[in-house]
Amino acid sequence: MARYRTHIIITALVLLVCHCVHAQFYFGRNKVQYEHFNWQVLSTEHFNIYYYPEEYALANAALNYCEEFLQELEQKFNQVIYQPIPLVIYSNHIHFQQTNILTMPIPEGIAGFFEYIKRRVVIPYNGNMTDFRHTLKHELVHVFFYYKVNSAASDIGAWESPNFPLWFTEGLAEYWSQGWDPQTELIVRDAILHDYLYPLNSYELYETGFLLYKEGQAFLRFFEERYTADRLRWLMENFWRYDSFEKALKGVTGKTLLELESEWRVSLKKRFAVHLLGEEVIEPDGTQLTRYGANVSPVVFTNQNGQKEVAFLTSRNGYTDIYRTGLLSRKEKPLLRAERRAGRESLHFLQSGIHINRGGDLIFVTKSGARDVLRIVNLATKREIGSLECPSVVSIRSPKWSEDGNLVVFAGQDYSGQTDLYIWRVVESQALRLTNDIYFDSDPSFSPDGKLVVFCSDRGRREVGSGTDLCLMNLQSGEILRLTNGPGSFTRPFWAPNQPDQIFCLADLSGTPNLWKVNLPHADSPAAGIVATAQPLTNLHTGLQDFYPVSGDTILVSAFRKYAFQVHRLNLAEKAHPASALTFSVVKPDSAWRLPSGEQLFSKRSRPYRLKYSLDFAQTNIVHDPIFGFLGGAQLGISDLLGNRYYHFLLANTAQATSEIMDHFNLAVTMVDLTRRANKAVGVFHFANDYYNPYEGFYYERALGLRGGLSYPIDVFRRLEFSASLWHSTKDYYYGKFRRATLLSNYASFVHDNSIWTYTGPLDGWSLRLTAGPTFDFKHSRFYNYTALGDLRLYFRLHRNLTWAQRWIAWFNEGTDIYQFYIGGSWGMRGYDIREIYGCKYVMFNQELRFPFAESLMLRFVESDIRLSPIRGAVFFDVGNAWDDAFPGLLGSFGFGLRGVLFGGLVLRLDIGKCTDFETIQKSWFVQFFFGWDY
Amino acid sequence: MQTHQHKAWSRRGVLVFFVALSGCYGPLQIPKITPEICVENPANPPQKIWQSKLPSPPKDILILNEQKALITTFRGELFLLNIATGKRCSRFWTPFRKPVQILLCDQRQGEIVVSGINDPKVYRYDLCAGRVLLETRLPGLDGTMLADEGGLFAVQNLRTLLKLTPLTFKVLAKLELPTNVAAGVFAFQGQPALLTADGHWRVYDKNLTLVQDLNLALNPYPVVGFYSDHLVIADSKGSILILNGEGIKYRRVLDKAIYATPILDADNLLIACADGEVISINWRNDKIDWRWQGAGPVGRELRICNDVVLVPYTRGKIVAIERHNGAFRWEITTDRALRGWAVSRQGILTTDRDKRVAYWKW
Repeated sequence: MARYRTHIIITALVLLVCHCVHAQFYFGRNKVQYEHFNWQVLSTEHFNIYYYPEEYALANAALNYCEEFLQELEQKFNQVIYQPIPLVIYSNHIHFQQTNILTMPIPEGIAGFFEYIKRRVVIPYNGNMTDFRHTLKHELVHVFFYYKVNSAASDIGAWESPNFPLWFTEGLAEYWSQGWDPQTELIVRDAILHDYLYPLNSYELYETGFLLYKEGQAFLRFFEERYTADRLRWLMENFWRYDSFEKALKGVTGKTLLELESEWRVSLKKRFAVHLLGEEVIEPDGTQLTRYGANVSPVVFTNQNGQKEVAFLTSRNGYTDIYRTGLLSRKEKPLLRAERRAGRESLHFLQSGIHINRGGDLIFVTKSGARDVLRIVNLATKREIGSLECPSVVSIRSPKWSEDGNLVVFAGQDYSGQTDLYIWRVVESQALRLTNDIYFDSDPSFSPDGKLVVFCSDRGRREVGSGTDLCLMNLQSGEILRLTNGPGSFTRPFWAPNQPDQIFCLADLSGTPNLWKVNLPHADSPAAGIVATAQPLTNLHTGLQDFYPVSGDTILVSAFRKYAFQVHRLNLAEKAHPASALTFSVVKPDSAWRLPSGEQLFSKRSRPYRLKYSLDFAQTNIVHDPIFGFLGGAQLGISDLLGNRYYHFLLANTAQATSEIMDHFNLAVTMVDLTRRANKAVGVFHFANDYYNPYEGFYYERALGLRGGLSYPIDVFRRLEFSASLWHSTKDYYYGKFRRATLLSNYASFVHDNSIWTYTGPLDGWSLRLTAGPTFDFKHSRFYNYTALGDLRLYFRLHRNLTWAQRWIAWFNEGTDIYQFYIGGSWGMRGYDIREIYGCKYVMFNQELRFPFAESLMLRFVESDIRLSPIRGAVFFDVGNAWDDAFPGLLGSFGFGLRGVLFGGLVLRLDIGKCTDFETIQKSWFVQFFFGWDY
Repeated sequence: MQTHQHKAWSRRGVLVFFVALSGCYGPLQIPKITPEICVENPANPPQKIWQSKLPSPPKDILILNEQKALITTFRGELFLLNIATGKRCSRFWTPFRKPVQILLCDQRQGEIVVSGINDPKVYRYDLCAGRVLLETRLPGLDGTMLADEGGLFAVQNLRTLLKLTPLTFKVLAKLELPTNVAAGVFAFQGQPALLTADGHWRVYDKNLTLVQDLNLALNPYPVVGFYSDHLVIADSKGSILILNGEGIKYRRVLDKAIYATPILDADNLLIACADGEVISINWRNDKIDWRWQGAGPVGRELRICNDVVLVPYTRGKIVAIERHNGAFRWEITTDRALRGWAVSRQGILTTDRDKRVAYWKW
């Protein structure tokens, strides 16, 4: 069907047709449309909110908050937005991950995004209105920034958008949306303390991800305090006057970025030195129980030998797993692996936790398809002994056992986005809703007698976003009392073991989260009016993520140090407790904040969503080919606002003379529908070109036909793909032969992929693709050709950074008009020229040991530096061959190589080795240099 | 033939205007805009007479006379418009394609001096003949120029104060400033003065020697209005200052940003804040006479027409409120966000984000 050709435009078309149907990607995880949302639009003068009816209250609140932020940001930026802002809202993160506005799978760490082409803001609700408001405002800052700098640039007719560095745009969005916050304080304090604050324009900062946001936020706070927001506005308005960001910054301050950074570091050191004098620093001493990656949610259990061990969540492997280690000594071993198969797609790292009851039953939350599922695994047998999937609950967080092991309390987010408390009676397998309101109730914990539940909630605060308190619920009466009352936030309460009058929690009153203890008199029947006292137990300079009370004096904490969380065992008896204590009057949480309705503030109207297409891209190509001459064409892509439906158009002509125009006219239209779980694509095409095929030589072919494709994701990791093409083909060979055929081809594929990648290629997991399909010639009622492909890639993680990779691949073509494969080269049989091994069938087996080689290699030039980072090494062994008729025997090659990453994405590959036919070994060494990721 | 007639008419119109206003002024003057205009009937909203679209984004509007208005664009163009019909009489394309600013007008000869931001040259144009009279290399001229008997004073690259010859723009003296210039150059007691980004008010003599340095403790880019012998300054933290030769006459801090130049209306100070509120303060007794809350920021200066104050809201509205009590009178709406505006006895000219110019007649 396809043949070797030089037509870049036609290749572009094929890529286009494949673009958005996930079925057409060779490997890759799936974006599964579990839900079919009934989209509505809520409009005001400034916003169009896209929502589904179940989340109307949320959409209405978002609209009100947006109008409030719009007024504030108009003043801050001195800029108005002259088009309504499209804002797409999902009631939870699992729904958000199904959005088609970004075609790539969305990681859990993304809390929303602003898409620049259609200026769309897309945001999920995580159940916490404070976070939601922060994300809304963060994205609106991006919108205003976009309008501000692009208005100025477009006014003068600039060819390109102002190129502000990412740390500036994200830092500004963070700082102008939430100012300063305990999380930023924790990260920046740690960076200053351990001296890893990266230079703002360094590649290393870009590789850190979240630290880039926080460094940008910290720098802009310093800049605004010292140089005022006026200079930031001036910088945005006048960026076009300068060649670069650094020159613009110097233009507005008179100082270089280096000088400003130096001032900033000194100011941070001065600021934090004051705190450090009276605070403790956690050290990597004998109390540290973990070493690699980030480790959170520690919980103690007794193993089969009767020894105390600690289970915890860890991200050390790229996946989130549950590991264990000794309570008194560090012996880290895997306990339960996740995020590699359906049903255990995510453990919600840093968002949820694990708990183990006295019987050794581990409870944890996993994402399983369209919603979260609570699972219980017995640690002795390592078997799943129970699970709970609530149809009304989409997301689940922080499950905790009761003391008797019969009940589990957890926070659940329903379809509308509300986060409430639930109890699961494990034996009866029933879930009961405890709260039902807009307030964010989280991190529940049973009292030792099981009659009370303490949890964290924003229900007592007068203003949304002003923090959270500890609340108590009496399970018999349903009465809720508020234990604490600011300032700051009290989070993650945990009842002290065997001490019913003491509750441990985290509080950020010192600027970062530290451990506190709340003493509760009359803990058996607390009532409004009693006075609770709260006392800090730690005074750490950086802070804690979470903790687990082992006994009265021993606490496991997940502490922040060197940009990672590590589990430490703290003995509180050895600590000098800070003296300051707070007293709180326990009250009913009345007169709390309410969701805004905004009925009187602005006029709004709601209507069903209608497809309205707008341009995604448009481009033209003119290329020159030494054989086929000048070729030209244009392509155009349009889609609706929600990205559910795409149309791709291609128009090209490869004629070399006016008389050939109608004979070399190429037109293709493809429609891709991503609305439902099964993604569909249909298209029509007319291609008429001159081609070359090594089996048939030069010829002219006109093909007119239909094409359809369907991809059905079984889950995130697996999918089925089907495609069919029906076309009429006429071939006119240059030597006089003529062929006319009506062809039908069908392909079916099964794809699996759970691999995770590092900068140079896959690191762990496995991928598989099986494809088969025949082509029939209707006109002559005959079999035309067939294709069968098997491609298995296995990645064995021998150590954290050491991977043994294997690729087993076999591809067969037989019949008329078939592919010819070329398997030599850096991506196939290394050491051979790309055209040295070819045929319509091939088998290949590649093995490679991948290991870290160097952190970076810096090439210094006068004007700028080029940095390769990281550099990884490989030892490889390839076996395979290609043939047409008879199998010619195996060829092989072996050697070693280096892969370096340039500009954060481009991989340079260097392979050195020897070839062999398994009888002799090539005497000289081959050296191959190429670009691209590892298989 | 028709084209020639049109051009001739256009040139005559310009000449008539410049001659009419030449009076006793010197040849090169800063284009001045009077905040208070006497109109026939500001009680009712003006009616839109015409609307047309320019080929590039408009920057500033300068109403020259009853017939003509001059519009500069961000892309190096100057348009001379017939106010009554909206027809473009002339189009001057400056040799640079950068935002154009009119530095000086020679009203007697029908000449203007223009520069482009970031452009290395200054051009002196003959509007009537449509040709360049002078082209001289003087990079980075920015902001307001001062022209008096002592010569021309201008700011170069935001950092250097220049003294130039009036006709040839030869540099007579230059002075490096300690920080960027925020606004200037102004004539203050017959001497050049400017406001620097560190919040200082600096006055120099004709030889560019510093004679007065007053720390006003302002944010870096304040807005400045010059009314007879009083200077009114406001900044983004809400500081308002009235200054004259005797020093600071009035100071007040409103907790809201101000991006539009306040107007000094005798004893009243009219301030439009970034949150849309318009405040009238009697600065003699520091009492707020009235407040009026509108929607969205105000990015341009207010205008007073008889007994109403016109407030140009950037979102695309011009609102008229009573001058003496702040009561709402009427409003007109542009289709898109408002960019620039100019008020004359006959009507209002507006430009918006969509490159459109509209004329509203009283």
